[in-house]
Amino acid sequence: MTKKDRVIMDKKVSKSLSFQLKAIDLLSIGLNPPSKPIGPEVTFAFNFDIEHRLNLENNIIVVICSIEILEESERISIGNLSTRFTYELKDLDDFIDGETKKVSFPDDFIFNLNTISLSTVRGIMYSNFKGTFLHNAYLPIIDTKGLKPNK
Amino acid sequence: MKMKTEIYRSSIISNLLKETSPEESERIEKRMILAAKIDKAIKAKRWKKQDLLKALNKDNPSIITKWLSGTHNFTTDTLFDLERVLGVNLINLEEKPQKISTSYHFEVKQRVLLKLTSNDFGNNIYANLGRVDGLEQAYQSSFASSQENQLVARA
Repeated sequence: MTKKDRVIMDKKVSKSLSFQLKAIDLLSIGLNPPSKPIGPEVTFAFNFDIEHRLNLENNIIVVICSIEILEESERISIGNLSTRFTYELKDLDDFIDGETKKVSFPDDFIFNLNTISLSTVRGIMYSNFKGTFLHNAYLPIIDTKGLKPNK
Repeated sequence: MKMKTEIYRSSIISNLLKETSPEESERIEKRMILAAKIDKAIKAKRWKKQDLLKALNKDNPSIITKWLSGTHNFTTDTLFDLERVLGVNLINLEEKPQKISTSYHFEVKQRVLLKLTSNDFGNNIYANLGRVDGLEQAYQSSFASSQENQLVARA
């Protein structure tokens, strides 16, 4: 890496991005009670899908989190939940390449976006599944830095 | 020396504002938004008025000033032409699905030990509950007093 490249990279990192949460929508929720009662010791598996959708015209990024909850031993879906988070960004144009029109956000921003969304989903799950057989199926802490996007 | 700000009140302006209906105000606001959108698109392309005129095969520069004033009543054809050359959406004819820019998939597991289940209680549902001494005594004394009452009745 040349000195010039390093300077360009530093400039990219130092760009600030202001954003705010505009809306939280619960898109769907479902319970599928297992045929046998859940035992005293259970392992819940959470199948997680996160989608980032961009709306450049309105400076909006939508994060859709969909979770399917399975009982590990049976591998049967016992619940699901889908939520949509709408974030409004300021100065989005700074992150659009003038020629290719591709948007590239700093890693820290993506990390924050995923962390905020996942934490909020945890709360939504808890409040919606409270008192049901999924009462104890609370989402474990996830290090979103380790997440790699699908290709 | 301090300058004192004077508030200018004009009866002409307030009369004009009174005459504007809510529908007209909404229309003016939308025209302003449209003009701002066009202006933003021209700047995004780093175009000058001449570039836009050339792209639209027009020769009168004042027309663009008029468009950007926010007062012009556009025809749909003009808007379609502007959409084409500027590469922006000015009339929303259909809901375009948002493109997925990034997606993630992962699975996490959580082992949970439930504190109490129906099996923990066995047949006697109260077996595992703590005994409350005060409550037991109160129950016994109440039983005793009812026996007493019965005795009294017999006598």
